[in-house]
Amino acid sequence: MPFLSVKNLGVSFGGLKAVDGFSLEMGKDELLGLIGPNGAGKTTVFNLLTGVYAPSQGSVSFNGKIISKLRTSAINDAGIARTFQNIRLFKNLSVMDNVRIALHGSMRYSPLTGILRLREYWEQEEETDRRAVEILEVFGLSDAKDEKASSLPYGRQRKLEIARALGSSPKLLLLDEPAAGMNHSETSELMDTISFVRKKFSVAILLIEHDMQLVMGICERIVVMDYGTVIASGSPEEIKSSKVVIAAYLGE
Amino acid sequence: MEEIRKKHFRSFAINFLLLAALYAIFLASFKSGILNNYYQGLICYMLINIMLTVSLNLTTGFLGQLPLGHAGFMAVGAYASGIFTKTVLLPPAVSLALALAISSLMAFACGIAIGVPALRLKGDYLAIITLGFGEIIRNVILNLKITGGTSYRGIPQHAGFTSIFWITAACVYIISALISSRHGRAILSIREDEIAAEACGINTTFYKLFAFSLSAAAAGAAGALYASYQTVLTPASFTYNQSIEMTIMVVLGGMGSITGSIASAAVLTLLPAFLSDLAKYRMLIYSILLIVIMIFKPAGLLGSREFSMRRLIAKLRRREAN
Repeated sequence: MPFLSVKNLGVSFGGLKAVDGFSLEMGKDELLGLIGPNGAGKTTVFNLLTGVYAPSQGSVSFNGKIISKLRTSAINDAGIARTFQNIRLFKNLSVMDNVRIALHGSMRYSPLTGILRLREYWEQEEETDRRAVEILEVFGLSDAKDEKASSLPYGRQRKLEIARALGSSPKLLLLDEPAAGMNHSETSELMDTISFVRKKFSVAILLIEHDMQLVMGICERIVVMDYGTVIASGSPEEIKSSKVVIAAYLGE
Repeated sequence: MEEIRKKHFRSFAINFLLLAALYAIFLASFKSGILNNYYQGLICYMLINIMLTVSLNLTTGFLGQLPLGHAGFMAVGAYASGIFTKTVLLPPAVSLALALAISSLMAFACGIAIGVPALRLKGDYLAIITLGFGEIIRNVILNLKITGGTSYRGIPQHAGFTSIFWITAACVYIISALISSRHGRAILSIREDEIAAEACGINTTFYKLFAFSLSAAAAGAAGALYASYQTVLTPASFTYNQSIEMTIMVVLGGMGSITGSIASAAVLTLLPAFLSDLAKYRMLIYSILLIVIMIFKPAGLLGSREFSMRRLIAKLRRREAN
């Protein structure tokens, strides 16, 4: 059984089929790129995978479990974490709290234990802080841990979002345009970070990206979408020379 | 890490000592007659308002929803405790403890019953549905036999300054301790971004309901204290105006600031009593005040900051050392 298996996934908004008959299989340690022209339905696929939208057809199975009927938080518990195209940080909370919230599921103490500040509370909170700092260090954010998330510069906010996603110890990480708005050197740095994160946290990564430098540089396999469905898939070389893909981007 | 625990314990100790001192000062001035019965009543009323404001802040400031039915939950608690203490005769302390438990449980249950449908809605819609709930409660109370219609009299006075003071303190502690636990962070994350919170594994439906019902339960407990102190209940004291006044107190003090809520509840309860000539214009003054605050300090006086005694002491010490 494949690690992630998406079969014939689809959703329509009114009369518009945003995603239609989307199928995908992904291995346990794969780094897969999802590309396509604007409006192809890439982000909608992410929203379907994470339960933000309920699919009107098809199924998603992940790690041997059908997840297409679960709510978003349960899908996160099952091991899928994501970032958002338009950064969605907890803006008024500290950098540390942003990651702490993602570690919520790793703590077990009850509200009463928390209020009475019993030993379990301290132990688990300290463990959480330790892990949060560890993750922040990977992204070079530990010096800013007590700052408000909204006070970070844009590039660091993007990094914090990835850090937060890793907080829930996912097995699959969905990155929605991680390099959006970054310059060339920031993108190169991000590529290194992604490769590093993949090994360090041993997660599979599925990423949406328009930046071809990044996609062609780090993805082993690329899936191309247009009009809500897969039109091509293969290695970066195959995709670069595919007629269908060139047609989708530039027209016939 | 030990450091954090120590810091926390120091904070707790300082606040507790301060509270004990405050309690002693109040008690001494009541006993010696510096403050007469009228003022004692006023202070008890202020404490109950603090409890209501802090608990409302849990849903308004921390969860980021706008309910307008807090007086309804208070009414549920007040009548539950009033009826219980009047019909089941027990020693005062036992009776009060049971009444508090019963009324907060009743209000908690109402919170769940209202919350399940209402929390699917947001903003104005949630405000309207909870406003409706408050009015329904008031009308039910007005028409039931067991609640005595327009007034319910003869409730034994089990609550006094001492019990009200310490129960309010406990309630404030519970809510502020909750906020700095994983559950509190889950509640805050919903205010910040619901979709992102879900994506981080927070079951937002559960935590919304949790915060909302907990805040209702605290309002119920405040209602129980009110009933056991006032000894007479009238549905007219639980109108939507009351809910709105509590909301004003929260907004004025700062949404998401517990110390702000305490300060604004205290000021807004005591001020009208001292400016009794202006009592007629109270609501007018409130409205103007609110507009001014919204223009110049939209997050409330304290915003989401907290005043910390430990921090203040540390600061003063540092200054002295220099």
